[in-house]
Amino acid sequence: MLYVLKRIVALALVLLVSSFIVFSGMYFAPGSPEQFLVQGRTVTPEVLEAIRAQYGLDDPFLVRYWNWLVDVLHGDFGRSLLTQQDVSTLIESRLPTTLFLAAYAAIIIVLVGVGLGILAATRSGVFEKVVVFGSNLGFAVPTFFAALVLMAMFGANLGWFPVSGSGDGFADRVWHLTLPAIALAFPAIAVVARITRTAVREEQGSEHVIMAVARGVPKRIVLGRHTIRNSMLPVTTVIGTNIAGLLASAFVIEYAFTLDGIGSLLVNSVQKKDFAVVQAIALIMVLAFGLINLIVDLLYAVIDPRVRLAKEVSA
Amino acid sequence: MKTAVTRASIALLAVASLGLAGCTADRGGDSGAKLDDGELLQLTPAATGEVDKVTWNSTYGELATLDPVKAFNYPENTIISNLCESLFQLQPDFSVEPNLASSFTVSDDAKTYVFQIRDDVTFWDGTPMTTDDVVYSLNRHLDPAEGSYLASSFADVTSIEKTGDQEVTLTLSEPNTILDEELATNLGAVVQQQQREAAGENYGNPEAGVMCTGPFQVGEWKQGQSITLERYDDYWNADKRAKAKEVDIGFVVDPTAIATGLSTGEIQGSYDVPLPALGQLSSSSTGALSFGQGMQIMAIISTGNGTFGDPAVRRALTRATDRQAIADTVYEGTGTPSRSIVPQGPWNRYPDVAEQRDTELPDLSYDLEAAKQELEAATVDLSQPIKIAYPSERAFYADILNEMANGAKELGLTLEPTGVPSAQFGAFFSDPEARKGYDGFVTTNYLSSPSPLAHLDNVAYTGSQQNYAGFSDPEVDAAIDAAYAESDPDKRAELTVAAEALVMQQQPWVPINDLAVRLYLDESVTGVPASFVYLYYPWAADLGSAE
Repeated sequence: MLYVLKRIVALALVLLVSSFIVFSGMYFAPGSPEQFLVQGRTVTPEVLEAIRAQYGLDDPFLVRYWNWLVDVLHGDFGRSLLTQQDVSTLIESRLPTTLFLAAYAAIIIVLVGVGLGILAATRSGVFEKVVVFGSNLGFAVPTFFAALVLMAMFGANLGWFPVSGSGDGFADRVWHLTLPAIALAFPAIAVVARITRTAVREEQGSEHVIMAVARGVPKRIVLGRHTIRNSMLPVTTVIGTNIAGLLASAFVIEYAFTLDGIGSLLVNSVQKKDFAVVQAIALIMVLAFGLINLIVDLLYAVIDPRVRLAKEVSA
Repeated sequence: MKTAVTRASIALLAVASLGLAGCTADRGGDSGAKLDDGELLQLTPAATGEVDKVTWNSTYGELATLDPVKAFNYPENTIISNLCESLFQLQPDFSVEPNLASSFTVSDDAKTYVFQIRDDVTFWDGTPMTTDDVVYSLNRHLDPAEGSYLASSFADVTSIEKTGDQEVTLTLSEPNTILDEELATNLGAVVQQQQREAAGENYGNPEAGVMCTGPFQVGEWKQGQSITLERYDDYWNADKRAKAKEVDIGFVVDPTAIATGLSTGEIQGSYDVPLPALGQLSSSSTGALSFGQGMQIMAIISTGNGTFGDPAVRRALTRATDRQAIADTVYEGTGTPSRSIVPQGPWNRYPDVAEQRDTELPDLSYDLEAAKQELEAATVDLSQPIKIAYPSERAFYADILNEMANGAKELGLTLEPTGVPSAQFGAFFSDPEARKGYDGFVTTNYLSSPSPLAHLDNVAYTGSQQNYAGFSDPEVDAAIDAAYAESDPDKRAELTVAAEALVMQQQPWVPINDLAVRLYLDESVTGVPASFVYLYYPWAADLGSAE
């Protein structure tokens, strides 16, 4: 319990530090937000002044950071410079697409990645070679390229899937997000498959598995209870970090497929210097990363009680 | 002394929204579509019938606001031109016609405008548009609290008043004979006062929207994805009632996704399809590309610094650059070498000045010998490299600048194209600090009103908006002032050409290519104008079925 508490406090500290970094990063980037708003038009000084006052741009840096932090703790992320909207409303409307996309991709990664890895480990021969080759390839293919290829093949040529928009309702969503989710999952599938294969192979050679086989325990049970379960430790780590990474890489996919997620919103907001939105999304991403890491660590303890013991002892 | 009346025309947000290098696949040009000179269209075949729903795409991405006083770029204007109407309206042939104002008179000194306001116009909620709404809407530009981006265009306006039931009088401190043309943009847009006041700070955003009189009203705005325009059935101008019940406009910016969407029919049409998509679309069997008369120009803006700050160097570089090659390869035949910083399109409606332009404007044709002669007049240090900035995500700019660098080499000059990230490049147009250390930067620019005079003013008048080089020439200023004061349109056109010729001797911008509108239409739809009026004219209302 203490372990969990400590991890949560650490996460909060990380959030605080990253919020400061993000805030100052936007602050010191070239070009001022009100100039971005008017985009080179010569506006009268009165107008500029009105814009600056409206967004509190004249306050000292630390005052602005403090005010912002206090508001955020009250759940108020401010207003978007660009669309004049409440940032929380804006993000609430965008978050479902990104979460759906990431969850979809995560499911694909787990099912396909782990599945292929286990198959490759237990079925040597041509199939194994294909998986190993495929994972080398998949690892080398950048996400945006996968998106292009999928779009060209299944969107343009075959016409099976739409190439833009995220759909309404569950079924329509699944249909719209299939290509993006596959493109997003692609590199991670390769990594997960490979690590799974190696881990399972290693377990197959371990003493307790050899003993179990020697003792005549049925193959199926050896595989399920001894080999796969024990090999899941490294696999969980790699799945965890890859899933956390999905949120960060989702922006490429969201952009390519014109999805209304927070990734594309982030890109747009960085370019337009829409302070409040960038800050809010950056915080959400840090939070998500931290939470997923926390969950992975907790899963460790579930899979292998020794981890829990060791950590408690060292704590 | 006339202050710079301005209407900027920065196509720059486009740059920002097209970002992300990784997503753009630059495809080699096997485009079969090449322009025949002067064969540019104004219209597409008229629609034969109504249609329930059309899907369109906004190439430059999502709009930020629906508020006309905060709209000045492709995404906003492309949408708002269908929603909020102005006192005057630009037509596909670039002429200007009365719209919400039924007629107007100008005083001899061109300082007092009296507008007759139509009495049969209603807002989407059915309430009549009143003269008070008109006065209120125009006055928004004068109220700093409204933060109008177009306010500088009203810098010379001293009062806007209701002077009769259906009459509004506008007074100016300086003569301006092209005010009606400027009021055909969002400058003259009319919104409902009551709704504007009720919406408060949410005005124009997806929650509060706007209340206008156009042929379409705002339907669902799915942020990050699309906006739906719904036909306003009680639109006052029955002849121009929209043919489509709904037009769904997506915000796809990735060239590959645009090409795929258009060629599969998922998207039925788009203006200004991205260059990398031309190859795939020109061979499409379900739709066709057409090329329209443009008001866009690709140019290189001098910052006034370094070697490029010398007009002789700019003139020499213009003549040493094979701008036809750029039109053929980079723009795949959809560009033509510019003869001036004012693109040809807006001049087409003044055929009488064509001859004058031929004699007075300098010859910019590709000629290395002439370029070397021009360079002899240079007074700057020619050994310094010329650094020209471009947004690194848009590779075609590098191709253009490399062509120019080849020409520079022939002259013994060094031109260094320098890519900077879009977000940073955006600041070049607003922040002098960002431009420091650069001799010039690229732009894809459009005229924000149909007037060549306004564009010249904007680029070359002392202290004006897009005069990035700090260019100042009393002769040019006087020539522009004279044209503003001339009430006879033909004489004004002549005076404008005279001013244009003066500006072109200095070339504060090096004009590269005039750009045609690259319009793609699925075979199922037709009717929209092909010329560059979709930022000013309710193009979607003309969109209908092709069968």
